[in-house]
Amino acid sequence: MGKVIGHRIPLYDSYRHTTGQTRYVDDIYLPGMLYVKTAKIPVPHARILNIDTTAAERVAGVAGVITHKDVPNNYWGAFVQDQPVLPDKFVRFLGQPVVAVAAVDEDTAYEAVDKVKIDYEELTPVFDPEEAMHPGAPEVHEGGNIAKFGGYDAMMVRLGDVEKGFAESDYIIEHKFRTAMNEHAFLEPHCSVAEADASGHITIYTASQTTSWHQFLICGVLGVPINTVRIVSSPTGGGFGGKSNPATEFVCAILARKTGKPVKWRWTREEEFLISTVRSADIMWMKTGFKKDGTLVARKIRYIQDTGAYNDFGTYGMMKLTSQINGPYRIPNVWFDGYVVYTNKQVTGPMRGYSITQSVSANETQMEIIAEITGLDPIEVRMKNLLQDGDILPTQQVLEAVGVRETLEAVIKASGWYNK
Amino acid sequence: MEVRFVLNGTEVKVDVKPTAILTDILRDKLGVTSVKKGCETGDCGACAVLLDGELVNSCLVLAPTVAGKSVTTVEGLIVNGEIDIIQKRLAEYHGTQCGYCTPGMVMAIKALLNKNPKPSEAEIRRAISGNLCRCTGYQKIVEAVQSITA
Amino acid sequence: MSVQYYSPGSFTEALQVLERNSNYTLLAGGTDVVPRLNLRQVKDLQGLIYLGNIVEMKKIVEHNEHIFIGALVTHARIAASELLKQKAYNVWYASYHMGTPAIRNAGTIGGNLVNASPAGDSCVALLAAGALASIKSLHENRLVPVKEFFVDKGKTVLKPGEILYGVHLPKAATGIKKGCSYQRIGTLKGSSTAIINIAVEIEQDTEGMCRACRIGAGAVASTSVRLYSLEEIFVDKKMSWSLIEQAVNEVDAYINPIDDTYATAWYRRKVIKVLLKRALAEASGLASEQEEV
Repeated sequence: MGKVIGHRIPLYDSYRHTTGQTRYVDDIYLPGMLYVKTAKIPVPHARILNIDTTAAERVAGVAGVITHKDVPNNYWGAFVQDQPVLPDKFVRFLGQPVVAVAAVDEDTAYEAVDKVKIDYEELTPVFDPEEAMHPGAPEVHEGGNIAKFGGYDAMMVRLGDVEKGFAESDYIIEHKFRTAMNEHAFLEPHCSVAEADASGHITIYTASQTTSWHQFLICGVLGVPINTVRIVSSPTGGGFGGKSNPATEFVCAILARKTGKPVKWRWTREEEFLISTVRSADIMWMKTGFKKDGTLVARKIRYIQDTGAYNDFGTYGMMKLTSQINGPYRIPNVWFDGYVVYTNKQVTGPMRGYSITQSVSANETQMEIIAEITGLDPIEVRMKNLLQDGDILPTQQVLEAVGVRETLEAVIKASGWYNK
Repeated sequence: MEVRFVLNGTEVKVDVKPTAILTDILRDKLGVTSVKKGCETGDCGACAVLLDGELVNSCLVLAPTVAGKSVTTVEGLIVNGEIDIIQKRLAEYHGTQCGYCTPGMVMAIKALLNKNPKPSEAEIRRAISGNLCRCTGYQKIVEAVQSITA
Repeated sequence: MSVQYYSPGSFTEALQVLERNSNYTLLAGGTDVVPRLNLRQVKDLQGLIYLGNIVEMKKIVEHNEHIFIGALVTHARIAASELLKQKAYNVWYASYHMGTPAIRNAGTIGGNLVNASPAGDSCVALLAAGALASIKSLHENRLVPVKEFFVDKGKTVLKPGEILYGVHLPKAATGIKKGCSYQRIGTLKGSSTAIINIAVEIEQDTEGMCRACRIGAGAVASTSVRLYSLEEIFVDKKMSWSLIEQAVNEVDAYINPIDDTYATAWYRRKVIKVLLKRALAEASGLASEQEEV
């Protein structure tokens, strides 16, 4: 213990980092390796009419060109299999790759990409989730823009009797909050290298935050047993949730099988901003009833999460959110409807406190407003409503080992709150 | 076209396209993968190297313009197997997290200390202002530099 | 066809190469040209003429009437120049606060001017300094006021075969006190493009009368611009808070801010008022008299 506590212990990989010896995926160079670039169309929403890759295939140095036809099981997703590896019928967000080219170097791949011909019919896009929910809005997916929860439009949570709670409240406040989309902006862009051996078994080097999940999805897309795909999880140049979803891996794996050569796809920073997942921009309508002494009594929430063009983890994000909609506070009467809505934007996904960060901004803003209305110290309002052992969340979890009070007390003391 | 320059003390010769960037030459042709590609627009600093002793983003340097010049990367700071004090202290002071910005960060600090061996905290922060660390480990990096100059 | 590359060793040689190949792209520090190449925004690049080996374009020289800064002088060298900090404060300030260390080491003042970004940091400083651009070709040398240098976003008065050789910064006449202020706001301290940048130079005589006022502003039009109508408010008057207020109130009418990824035109209209007030107050010497600024 004396050798650890109170001493600086360098991280196991820190000397490799400072001397440049850490091998990230982009630092892998294999003999005969090919480089991927993709063809896109310049609009966010379109019906694909025809894809012609003949001219691209003729470019000297091009080893393989793939479209949706080359993907064994094109549609994938965590909850709803609505996302194509390469789209066959519709492009649903700006920059969505339609055709992938593998060539001897990036310049050649770009040259071939410029020769891909994609005929399309531009469709009206929808970007605002509230607009997307209106009847008659442009459909991102056939059958409507609202993702389903077991046949229902919304994820519903009910605890106690919210109307009775409002009736018993001294004050009721009501706000609509919006948050902005966030890009993770890790320094290391998405990159993977795939190679297939003679028996067709595939090895994929990738900086994944969810190695097994990637393996599972890739096997599903390729339609192969799980023992034939090996994922080598490599040092990650930052993830922050943004490397939880497969990005470059499917395309690399398919091109490696098709060409018999190692294949690398590294996204540009532009692609990171355009097509990688982001934290969703959410809309939260929140009505809260409370007593003169600051005690929370009832809360009604209508929550709209913009999932972007595909569901991916969207449904999961909403389910995760529901357990923490009121933050660390006890509210006996809760009514929550949460919608996951499709728009013609890049897919949203996990980012540092998946789905929860957005609701915290709304929740804590209201706590401040409650302090102002009641004239109480903002800390007192929070202290009064903190969860404790034995409390039941709106989602029915019974809490134990709740440490929030001790934590807040330590913060009050360390910050000298009452001396300010 | 052929370009000769000095890389970490040794003369090298490479065949390049006029529009090739130094980052790609170092990584793809000379195997110096410590130089990272983060943006290719000079915004992130992950590709930073010393060019004739001055800090530059190698992604903004066209390879032919390096002819006759001297390029230093983190590999070049290791002398007779001994790593530089910057490399040592960044590791010891937890100045690395994901590590992707680290080689560029090391070179930015090297450029600073070469010219200003006793920088103030403000001067340290200004010197690394072009090296983005998305893990937001700047405080530890500054402390590591201060441990060298104190 | 493959891209041609030239690296002339003298200015004359550079003019000769350009004379034969007026469609080639001039390359100085590369901080504007190379990102465009990397982002594949440049179509049909024929050739590159690298100016980095031309020593005569890298000089800073003080003359009796003006200071000459060669087009290839980097921002790092300007930032390190005590001469420019003392006698061309705004030009110094623009370079000192521009970009990042690596960008300042590569990027040049000439490059900033020729790139003609609406938000170019050196551009507004040179406008306020009343600077002249020294333009040369094999056939003609001319001096063009920087206020006439920009034609449109990315477009200047440079004709085929011409190279920007440097800039002349006029010195203030005897008996004239020159006050300077440079104000800018960006999304980050390091690196970021200015959302609004303003440079002001005010020349006052011994009586405190304003004899000249030059206001350069960026990101409020398709090029960096002088705000002549606001300058006229002050000329031949004694600088005062009420005149500054008048200029701040009128600025809306004379600008057409750009709307881009860095900021909205709406925000730029708000923030220019704050920066303009600060700049006029500092350059006139009034700032120290009142703390509200």
